[in-house]
Amino acid sequence: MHGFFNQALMVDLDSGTSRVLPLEDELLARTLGGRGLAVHLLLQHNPAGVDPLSPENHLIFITGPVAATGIWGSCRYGVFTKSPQTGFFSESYSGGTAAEPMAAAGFDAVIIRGRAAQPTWLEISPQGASFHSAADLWGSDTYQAEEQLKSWIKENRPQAGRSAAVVIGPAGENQVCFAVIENDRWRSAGRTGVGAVMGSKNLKALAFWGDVAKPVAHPELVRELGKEMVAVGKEDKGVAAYKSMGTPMMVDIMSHVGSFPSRYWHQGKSPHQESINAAALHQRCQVKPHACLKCFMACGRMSRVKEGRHAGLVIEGPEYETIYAFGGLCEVDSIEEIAWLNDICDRLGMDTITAGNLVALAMEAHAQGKGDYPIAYGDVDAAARLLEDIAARRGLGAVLARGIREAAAELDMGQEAIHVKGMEPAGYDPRVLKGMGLAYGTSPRGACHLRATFYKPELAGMVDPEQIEGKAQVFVEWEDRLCFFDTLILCRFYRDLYQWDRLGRMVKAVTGLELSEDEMRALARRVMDDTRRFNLREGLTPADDQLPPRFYSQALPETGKVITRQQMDTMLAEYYRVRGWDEMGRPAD
Amino acid sequence: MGVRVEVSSGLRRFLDSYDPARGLELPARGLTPARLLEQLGIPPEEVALVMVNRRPAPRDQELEDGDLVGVFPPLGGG
Repeated sequence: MHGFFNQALMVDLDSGTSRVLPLEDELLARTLGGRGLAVHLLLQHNPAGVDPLSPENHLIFITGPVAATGIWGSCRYGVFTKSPQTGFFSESYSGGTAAEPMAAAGFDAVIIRGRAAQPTWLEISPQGASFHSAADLWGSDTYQAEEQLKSWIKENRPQAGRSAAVVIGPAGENQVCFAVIENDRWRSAGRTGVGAVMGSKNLKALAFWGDVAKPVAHPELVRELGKEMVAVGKEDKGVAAYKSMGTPMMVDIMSHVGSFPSRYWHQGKSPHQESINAAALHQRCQVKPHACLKCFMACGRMSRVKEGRHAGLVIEGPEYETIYAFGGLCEVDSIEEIAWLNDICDRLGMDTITAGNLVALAMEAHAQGKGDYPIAYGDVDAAARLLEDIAARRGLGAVLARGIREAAAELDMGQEAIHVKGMEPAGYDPRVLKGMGLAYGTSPRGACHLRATFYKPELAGMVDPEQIEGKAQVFVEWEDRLCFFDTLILCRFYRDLYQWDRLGRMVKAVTGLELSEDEMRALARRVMDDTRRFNLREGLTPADDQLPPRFYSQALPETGKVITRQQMDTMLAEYYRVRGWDEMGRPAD
Repeated sequence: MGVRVEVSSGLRRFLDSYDPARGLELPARGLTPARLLEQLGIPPEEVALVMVNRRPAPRDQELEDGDLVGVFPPLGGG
């Protein structure tokens, strides 16, 4: 089918072999690739109840049908597996430039099982997989590993043209359960611990190259849509906002509404707002907008610290979520210091949201006199040391590396810990934005903000944050459309520009399929159902869709707000109903 | 006690002076978000969102003593 190569590459690290798995048109039309294909493959190939860090857990890299076409917002890949952080469905996406060389190798998916006997990196090209020793890469940080692999390809594969390397750092090697996979230095498949699964397979990196062109059904329609989007993008104020301020723009509004999580979820506003917001970033650092391939939005901030002890530090970031995690929860009061902690996490290969949450949990434990690790709120050097300890699994770091559920139990912080399904929320407090409570509860991968990005309609006045009845109906609208984004693997930040009509035109232009809005919605709903089936198979119950108890009982001091258990139950029941699931949250067979 | 106004950092370039710790205070009488922007000299087309007491509000809403107003440029997301 157009938009696809109709084949996956199955890699077995136990035997050091690979084979081509044909992907039939019928399957691709039913799933549209991406997340839909991934859920199908995981249901088919993963043994139920598999230990996520065992050889039998499959790790799947996928580029969607729009990757390596002229579609804006398309240069992304997805990684799918069973998460070692949550024990449930894992999906994580990354931008940058990697998706295009990945697609040029000519496979819609690379499916990896087994465990290599020695540290290994994989070369994926149109010829298939080649297995290389990673002995000299093991232990290196993500920046070094990526650079070294790209140099190797350049030197040894002169025919390669553009190449990509996706790598893990020491945290992934040590199977820290929230380790990331990185590319382009600062772009990460960041959440749910996909890097730990790579580490468990003794797999340090994958390099991709090739010259296989992505066949599209109607090149002229792809060009037409591309031109139209450029014109729309020029006029769109949201696009201009991303370009001028990036995601740190959210610090001000989240603080204003009292939903900027601070001091380990005890406050909804940081006293240091003015030294960690977008204005501070643009004053204290030299900042240039930075775009992924096939993007006119350029939400990334290429930042160089101007002065102080980190002068000269260059990083793409920090993003809003990293600012909230370290600046809000840990009370680090300087944007340069947050950039430094961001750099440490990137080099070690760890998710900044979870890392910031766990460091803040340790700070809160210290403030309560629990444990013997001296780390006060705002102590950035202690935070940096703890991050290094997590990646190396030393002392308290070894405890935190196992994730928040085990760490909270060991620190006697079980009642304090903030997570859903073992994954910590992003920087939107659901006591203020009630729909984000529903989002955190129901997201298949834990407390995720991205599956529906519901903060957007709640902040923009499209739906009242305090509304409970009828909220799930609006939420499902957003979730379905963005689930459809994940089957195509499109960037979230094009969500206002690609409504159903343009998505339909995109699908036709790329794949040749003519889908009505109803058919696209039905496809998204099937993918949501299958994802739920995967999680139910792994032992999910409705209790796993609940929020941490503090959100129900502990009011935010600025607003006095909580989200009550009853409010959450009402939204959940409606959500199950709108999805067509039974009262236990089970899709029909 | 008048209306307290917080202006997002992206819009402060239109103000002569602004102390983020204090915000601004304006008398409530006859004030609406639209008139407030006019008084402050912030071009209305630069403002995407006005919040009153932390909830999105229409530009013609009558403001009252004690109200908290937030003024924001277009937002993308996080």
